[in-house]
Amino acid sequence: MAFLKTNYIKKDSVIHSLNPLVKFSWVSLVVVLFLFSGSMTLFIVVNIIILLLAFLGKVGRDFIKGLVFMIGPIFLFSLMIHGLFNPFGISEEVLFSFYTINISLEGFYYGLFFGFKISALISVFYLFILTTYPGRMVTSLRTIGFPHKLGFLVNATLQIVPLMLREAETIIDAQRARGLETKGSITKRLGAYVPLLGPIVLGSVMKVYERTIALEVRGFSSTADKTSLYVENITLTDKLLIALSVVLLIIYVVFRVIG
Amino acid sequence: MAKKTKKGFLEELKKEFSTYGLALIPIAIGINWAGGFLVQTLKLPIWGDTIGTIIAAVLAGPWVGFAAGGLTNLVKNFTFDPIGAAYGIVNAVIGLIAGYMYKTGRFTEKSNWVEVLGTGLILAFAATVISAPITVYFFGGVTGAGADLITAMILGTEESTGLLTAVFGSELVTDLLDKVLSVFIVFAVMKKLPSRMLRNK
Repeated sequence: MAFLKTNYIKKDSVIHSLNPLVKFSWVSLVVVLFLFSGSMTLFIVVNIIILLLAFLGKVGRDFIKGLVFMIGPIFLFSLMIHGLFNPFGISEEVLFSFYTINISLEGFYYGLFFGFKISALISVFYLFILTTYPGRMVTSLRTIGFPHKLGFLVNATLQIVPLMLREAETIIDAQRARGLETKGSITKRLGAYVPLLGPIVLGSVMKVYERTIALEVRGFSSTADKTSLYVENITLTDKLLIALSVVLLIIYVVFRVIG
Repeated sequence: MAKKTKKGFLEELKKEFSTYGLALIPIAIGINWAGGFLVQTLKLPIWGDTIGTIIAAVLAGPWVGFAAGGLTNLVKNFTFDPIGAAYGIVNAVIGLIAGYMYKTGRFTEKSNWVEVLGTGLILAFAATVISAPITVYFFGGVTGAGADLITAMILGTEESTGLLTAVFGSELVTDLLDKVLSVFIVFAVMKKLPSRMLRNK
């Protein structure tokens, strides 16, 4: 069975060969910064570091292409919401005026700040996605004690989703052939939603029993130790890099508490 | 009902997460993604990604719904689309509420349309109450989607009382349509399912 065609790009690079746990530690680090930091400089630095890592992982071009597509609208709306209305601000200072529209200085700053902040979060996840094979991700989580049932949930999802998307396409074609209108006014399109989703839902829900039996036959509920098909090694470099993330996190917390 | 949960919550949980419940979760996530895919194909102004969550909650129980909803966003975030994990909790709570509504008999295959509509409204309201603060405090009110235009429109009006209410308003608009529609679809599906599948109570 084919895995979901994720955005993973197969390349032979340093970043690809790292244990996924290292990349998990980077993601966690950025998520903590995202939640607690209010410094725009810090987020710009994070953005630049991740960009460099993407080039190190030989996915730089795809990284930039995908990222621009995702953060473009975010910067646009962020500058619009904050620049025009400045909902978080207190000062009235105007950066520039355009006919009757005033862009406030403080709002412009907030607009950029949230742009870079969200961009840092998206970047780190995107780097993870581009350079980590989903199967390895699950295996590495198993090595640090995640229950095998959770591993099953993730892997099964990645296998089922492409099948269901293909089924969705078939059903769209079938219903169109029967005269269902999938274009036109919004009420028409809303009306088309139900005959399209209905067969997918019914068909897949009916399959759950078969899957349950198939799982049971293979000893899914057995309490014996489970073995993995793939083995994920953790090298000294991986351990050092994870330690580095932890150290950086501690440094950040210390600076936050002192400063 | 309350007595039952107190008596053996862990046992209830174990019963919910049987092999059947676990086999249902990936399917529910698949339905969520297929729903989202159809919404994109039809260019509808809704999300469409909680139908699987509600179905899982109805067929296997509230906490299976919770897991299906949360994992939908989490798995997606780590494999395909780097935005959205923060909203996993919204999808998860939808499953939880829908599951309890089913368990307590307020939203079942025998409900009338008022009850179904009510369920949709409750889910929409819950989703907005949870997601609006996430959008405002973590993302500064920005989602990068078309709903941001509604946020800006509300901010631009004279009566605007700040970002939180503006985001709340814009998200309520999409959520109302989305959740009510989702609930009616699930209701239609429930009516068509063989009754042996709907025994979880």
